[in-house]
Amino acid sequence: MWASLLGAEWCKIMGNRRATFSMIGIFPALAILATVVGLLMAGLSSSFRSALQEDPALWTEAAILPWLVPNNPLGRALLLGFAAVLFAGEYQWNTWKSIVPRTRRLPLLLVKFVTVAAFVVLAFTLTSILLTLGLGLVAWVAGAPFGPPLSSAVLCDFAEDYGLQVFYAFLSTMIAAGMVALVAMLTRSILASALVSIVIAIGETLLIVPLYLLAALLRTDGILHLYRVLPGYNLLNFFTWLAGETPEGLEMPSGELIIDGELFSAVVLVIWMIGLISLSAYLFNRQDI
Amino acid sequence: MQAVEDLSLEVAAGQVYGFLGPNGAGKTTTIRMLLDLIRPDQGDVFLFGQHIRRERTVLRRVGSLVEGASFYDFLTGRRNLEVLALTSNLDLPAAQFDAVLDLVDMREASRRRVRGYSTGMKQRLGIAAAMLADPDLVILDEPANGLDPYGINEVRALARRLVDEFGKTVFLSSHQLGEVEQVCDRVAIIHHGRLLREGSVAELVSEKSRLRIEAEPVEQTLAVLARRGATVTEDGTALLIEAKRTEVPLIVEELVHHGIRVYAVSAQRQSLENYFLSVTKGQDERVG
Repeated sequence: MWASLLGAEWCKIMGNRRATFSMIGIFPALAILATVVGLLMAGLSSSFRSALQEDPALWTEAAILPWLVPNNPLGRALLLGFAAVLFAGEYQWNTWKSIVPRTRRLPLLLVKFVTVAAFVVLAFTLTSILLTLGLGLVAWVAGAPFGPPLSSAVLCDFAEDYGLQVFYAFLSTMIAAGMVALVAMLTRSILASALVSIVIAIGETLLIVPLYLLAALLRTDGILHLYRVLPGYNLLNFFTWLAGETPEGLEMPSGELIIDGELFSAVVLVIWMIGLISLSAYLFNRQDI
Repeated sequence: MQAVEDLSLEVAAGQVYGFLGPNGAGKTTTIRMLLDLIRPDQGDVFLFGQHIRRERTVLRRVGSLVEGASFYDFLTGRRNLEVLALTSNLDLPAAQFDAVLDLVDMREASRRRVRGYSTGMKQRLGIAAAMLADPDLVILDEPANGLDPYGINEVRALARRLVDEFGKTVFLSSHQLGEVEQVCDRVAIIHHGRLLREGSVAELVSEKSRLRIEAEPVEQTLAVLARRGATVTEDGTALLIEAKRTEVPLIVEELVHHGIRVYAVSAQRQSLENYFLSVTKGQDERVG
């Protein structure tokens, strides 16, 4: 059944070419474009060649670069849009009424989460491969090294970094999809789902301001701890750790500085992911269509 | 107010069963409950004697077209059917797609994207989609909505073919009474979520017929009929009353008994539309 449901989602996504390309296909396309531009510059510009020789590109960084997209506001907006097409599309096109009598609701909804995750991982993996190969080609044309040299230590470090970045992108995408699924049930419109989800995603990070003011006004740090369990804060915190930096932390009105660890944020994000998916599944199961 | 209340319908296999009611009567709500698209606040829904939620597979015996056909308009007609088959976990041979597309005369058009289809083509594709899994029961909710007279005629003929040629049972919800009268074997009329009447079209329209009586003297005839409690309207030289077919001999006998000369008594056949209006209006007056 799952393969069949995934096949149906695949048909829909591949058939909806404009939406799929503009929100997901654009990433591998950009990787190809970057390669073409890089090759042209390497062929035509000696200053570009010498710059690349002096400060060579690293394949370890090139491969990871696409996975940073979910942490970028524009990239996140595109992912939210893609999820909105998947979840709100059935409402907007009025197609749930044809599907729901044929299959149980839970698999119908869960397969959409699987599809979002699969497509995002697939698109970014492809982008990652294209960008790495492309930059390697540009480096070769420019006569620049494209390190670091392969060794078991380099590969182990790279695998760990790459895995964590994929995990981060997966969590970020699934939380976004969970949010979109809930909004789609209310708005039943692709555009409204995408816009409301973007507003929520941005608004959630801005919650720090009223929470901080309230905490200062009531002279209690407790309220500010609410911010520590929001997905936006933890995504940023987790990402900062991944980038090899120490997060700035959260300064309480009392002056206490709280720096949450990588594991804390990962656990909070996983709880959010499970919570949002479970809630959307519960509500969808009871929803009138 | 309850949208639907204690509604039980018995639809015999191999019939076109009309489901009638004015707007807001609960027709679509009933169909949506049958298909598990909405959940009743109270009570349960049974289909083929099985609880639709506990025996989920029972819905596999049903094909449906609810409130107009809706498709992924960026896919071709055929691709839409393939997606529906995948969603239903049906591994259908290509011949099955061809067969249902041929049934609605859409094989050629199914290669084009749905975006360019007319309303009639979408409705026909919707019927093809409903037939895809070779269901026992086909539920068509207002299938003629938005169609021109040719389209309405096509859908009507198609509903009949599903029963006569393919042995299906068709549950047809409509407020186009002429359509129902022509195609349905039996009908149910619901109003305010309650079943008002159920029977064959012939039974229902003959349940209350209009009698045209030509008799003299008119004043005396009026008085006799008034004593029976009949509402009489004059139509030129004739009097019109509503009466059951079984009452006709009694009325004639009574008129003759009072020395009235009866020249002609004829029953005017009532249309389903008149019947429908009389029973739903009567219900409204009682509710009011």
